[in-house]
Order: sequence, then structure tokens, then C-alpha cells
Amino acid sequence: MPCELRRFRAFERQLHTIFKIFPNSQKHIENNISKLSKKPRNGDRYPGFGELEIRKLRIPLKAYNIGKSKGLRIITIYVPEKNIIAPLVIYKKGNHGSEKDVKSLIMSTIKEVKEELP
Amino acid sequence: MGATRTINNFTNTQNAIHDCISSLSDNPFVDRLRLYRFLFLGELRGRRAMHATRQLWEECEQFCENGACATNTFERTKDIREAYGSIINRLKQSGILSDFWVQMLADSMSEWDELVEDCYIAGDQKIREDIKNIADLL
Repeated sequence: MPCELRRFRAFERQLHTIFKIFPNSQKHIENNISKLSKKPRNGDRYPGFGELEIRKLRIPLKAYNIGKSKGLRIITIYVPEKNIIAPLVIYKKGNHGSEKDVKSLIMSTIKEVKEELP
Repeated sequence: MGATRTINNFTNTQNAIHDCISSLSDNPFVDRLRLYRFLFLGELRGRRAMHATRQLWEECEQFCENGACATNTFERTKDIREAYGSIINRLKQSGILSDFWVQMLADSMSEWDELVEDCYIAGDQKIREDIKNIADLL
């Protein structure tokens, strides 16, 4: 049974910015996001979250000749016991050594999502 | 058992890449041989280490909620990534290997960079707690 896909406003904002930069890949990106409800276990899993599954999906942008390694990243939260998946962050992979930037983006997104949730 | 094997794979990869860097001389013929040796043996070890780590993380369930493995792996993966960067820079300057091999090393470096990023994020306690809180509210 496909799981429920929740989309946060913070994620939608990031997605909107990505669409502006890569308009030719809009459909491809949307397809990948909607597939999440059928395949919530796609992507590499982060350790240390117990039964919660936090994963990173790598999306190539073929319309721009960008492969998986330089493509988009979507970090998802999958809660198996509730059968809910929520994409948290979407970003374009930067240069090597940009882990601090990614961490800041995640932290600011988490802050926005916490404000959005009841 | 899996964790011990993973750590051993990391140590082997670190040793292989640092041995390769320190053994590079000004003799292009000898350097080329050493680099080819690293490209076959060191790369194989590196890919094994990455695969074992991803597999271990895939299997981690309720018994692992502290992200200690990510914190422990972070420095090692970062060291390997920097070493790859160093080899690639030297190769670009010297031109002793063709672009094909340099690109192969650059691809490996990207994979290591990905692992560094994942370790850095998963090793952060604040992020782990916040994400668990969000999941509770879903």
C-alpha cells in the first residue's frame, strides 16, 4: 500500500527555487517526488535515527547534462509505523567540502517546519 | 563484526591512498606504475569500505540511536576525501595519467564527499533530535 506523502511549506519553497533554476526538469523532479509514496525506501539511509528512516535521494538532471553525483539531493523522513513520508530538504549538490552549507540548510529548514507543525 | 570489517576497510583505504601519495616521486614511469596499482587495489578497497558502510547503515534499527558510527567515520572519510583531492591536483599538474583516469578518481572523490556529508549530518545530535520531534508530530 502506498504511503501518505506530506509536503511541508518550507520544502515547497525550496522546490519552487529549484524549478526556477532548472525549468526543463520540473516534470522529472515532480515524478521523483511522487514516486516516494510508492518507494519510500529509495536512497541512502542515514544512521542513528532508530526505527525512523532518514534517507537521501540523488536525482540526475538529464535535461542539463548533470549526472547523479552533481545533481539534486532530497532528504526524506519516512515513519514506517505511521506509513508517512515527508521530503524535508531539496538542494543542488555543490562543490566538494560543502557539508557545512548543507547542515545549515537542514537546520534552517527544520526550524521552519517546526513552526509550521501544530 | 560488520562494524569491525568496515573500520578495517577504512584503515586499508587510508593506508593505500597515503602510501600512494608519499611514494610519488619525480619519475613519471615509476609514478605511473604506483598510481595504476592504487587505481586497482586502493580503489577496490575504497569501494568495499563505502559499500560496507552503506550496508551497515541500512541495517541499523532500534539498537542504534546515537549516530556514534557516523561521528567515528567522519574523520576517516574526510581524510580519504582530502587525500583524493591531493592526488587529483598532482595528477592535473603533472599530466602523467590520461583524463580518463583522473575522471575516475574524481568520481570516487565525489562518492567519498557524499559519505563525508552524510556522516557530518547524521553525527549531529541536534539534527537527530529535531528530526525525531518532527516525525512524532507527523
